[in-house]
Amino acid sequence: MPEAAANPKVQKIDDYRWRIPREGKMRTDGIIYADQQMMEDIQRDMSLVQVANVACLPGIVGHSLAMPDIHWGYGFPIGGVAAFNLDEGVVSPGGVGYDINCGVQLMRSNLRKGDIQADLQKLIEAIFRNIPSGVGSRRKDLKLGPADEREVLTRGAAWAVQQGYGAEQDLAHIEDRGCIAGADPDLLSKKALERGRPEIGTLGSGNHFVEIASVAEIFDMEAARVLGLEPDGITVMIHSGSRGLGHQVCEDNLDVMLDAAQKYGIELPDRQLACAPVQSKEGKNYLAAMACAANFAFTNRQLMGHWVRQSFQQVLDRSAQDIGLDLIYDVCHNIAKIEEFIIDGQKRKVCVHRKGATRAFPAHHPLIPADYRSIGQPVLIPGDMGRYSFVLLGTEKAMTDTFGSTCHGAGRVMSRHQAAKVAKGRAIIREMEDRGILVRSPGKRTVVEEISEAYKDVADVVRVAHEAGISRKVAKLTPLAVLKG
Amino acid sequence: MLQSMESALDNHHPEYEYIEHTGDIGVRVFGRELKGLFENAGKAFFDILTERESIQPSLQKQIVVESHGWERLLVAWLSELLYLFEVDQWLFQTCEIRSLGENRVEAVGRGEHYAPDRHEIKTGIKAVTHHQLSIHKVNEIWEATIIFDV
Repeated sequence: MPEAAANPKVQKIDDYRWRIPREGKMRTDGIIYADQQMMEDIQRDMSLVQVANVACLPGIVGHSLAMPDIHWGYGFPIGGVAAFNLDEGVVSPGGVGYDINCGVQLMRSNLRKGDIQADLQKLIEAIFRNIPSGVGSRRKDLKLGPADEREVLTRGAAWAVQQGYGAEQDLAHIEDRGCIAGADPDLLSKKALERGRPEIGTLGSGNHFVEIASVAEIFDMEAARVLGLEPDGITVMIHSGSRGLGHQVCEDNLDVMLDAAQKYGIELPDRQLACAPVQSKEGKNYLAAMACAANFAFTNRQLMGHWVRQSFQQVLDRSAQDIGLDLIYDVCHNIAKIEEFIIDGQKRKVCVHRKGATRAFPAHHPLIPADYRSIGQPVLIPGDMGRYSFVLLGTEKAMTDTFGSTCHGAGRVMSRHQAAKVAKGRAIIREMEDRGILVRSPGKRTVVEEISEAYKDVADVVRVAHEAGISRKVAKLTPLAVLKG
Repeated sequence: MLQSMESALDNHHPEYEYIEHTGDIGVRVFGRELKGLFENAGKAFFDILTERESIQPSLQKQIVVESHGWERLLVAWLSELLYLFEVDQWLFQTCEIRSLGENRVEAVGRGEHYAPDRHEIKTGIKAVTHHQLSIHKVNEIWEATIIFDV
């Protein structure tokens, strides 16, 4: 089932929003958050067709949305957000993606840039030693037995805390407290469980990273104070997901959903959009299996956060309290959840898919931590390894317009192949060093494929999200040292 | 090569070629017979992952995969190779298809286990997607398009 060949027409709504008017089998309009320049870039690939394809799925509520970091994915566009009602609406593994709960956590510290400049190399080497990264890497000191794996899948980050990895107060600063309810490990295939066990506590490859950065700019002093961010303050960001386990859960369920779509008479514009009604056995089973993978990812980031803290203590020879690496927040970028919104004046539960998008709940929302209730939920936006990352907050406008969602990152503009061509003959690690950024990686190729030019400038993405009002800027972080998977 | 004569392409025809996809890696795989198409898809898979020539074909592994229809079977076949790499760290220099039907493939992989000192991992493949997947015949040659999530 190939996709339509031509990009659909778009109409400009305002400076930051574009509409794909409903036509053909679409059940609703598509709305894309982008400025003029971005829209020109977006039209170069097939991501708008994907926005239109998602609009064809049964039970879609509101619009088929795309955040400013939209780019070509498979099935759903990356940067896609879509909500479905709980009557005839569907859930689609492709609307979550292979790397279920790929996400980001950010820690702040009591350290300033000057405190660690001399030790940066040692720090990134220690993190490299303490967190296995790259394809085929394994942990030697943490072997997960089948019984423990079940605990990870059902309890998520709380399991890690109970085992001594991190502190109880970390849990309050993780989306859904690091555990999505309803997880049922019995629904996972033997393969999924087998792929999970050796990979727990490992970073992975591709765009996954651990980054030591410093606060370069603050846009909202009060919010920054609440989050513990100060000028030149050292932060650590971890980007990783559910590893092979999540990929297997997606794959197993895509297979089930291909049959289910046929069974329920759902016409698929793209095979990768395979889905089933949220209320069907297949839909419920997927959500319960997805929750397992999400909990695996929360646990994985919690473990790695612990080893980052340990690495700082080893190298700096200072106490944990002194260093003060506290978790600011941990968010999902690839997830589907049943959430409640005011729709047509009424409270309604819907199944929101965020495929490369971040939850962005506003101040006073009951699901955000008590200490952040006055400012809103932190939104963590990693950039590419050479530029900067951002901390934003959720807003009321996101709640009313985008099912409490915003962008998630920079988004690629070059394929990996193209990036490798552009970087040919260049010493990328050396170039980065000249710009004051240390890069450590188990292989050279990832670094080459992840060059800055391969990505949109995340500052543009964040500016559009901020100007459109679906999140607001708090701080910009610039990298000092990066471990690439 | 272990590829059987009837499934071999002539010398001028590539076994597969790369296609551009912003996020990921796509390949167009060719074969005179579907058997050759599945074998060449296996080659593309291990070429993306590592330097296939660095794999010694010293061990054999029987592989049996079942699915529903040619396209889903091709995804299942490549996904099995990914699973065998991730869990048992298998790298295959070649995969010989012994028997192939619309719902089942039986093969023998010849290779060895991943050794970080001898095998360079070029690109980590995370999944074999169904996106834009197609298998069809063009001028007597089978063609399949596959996008890998990397």
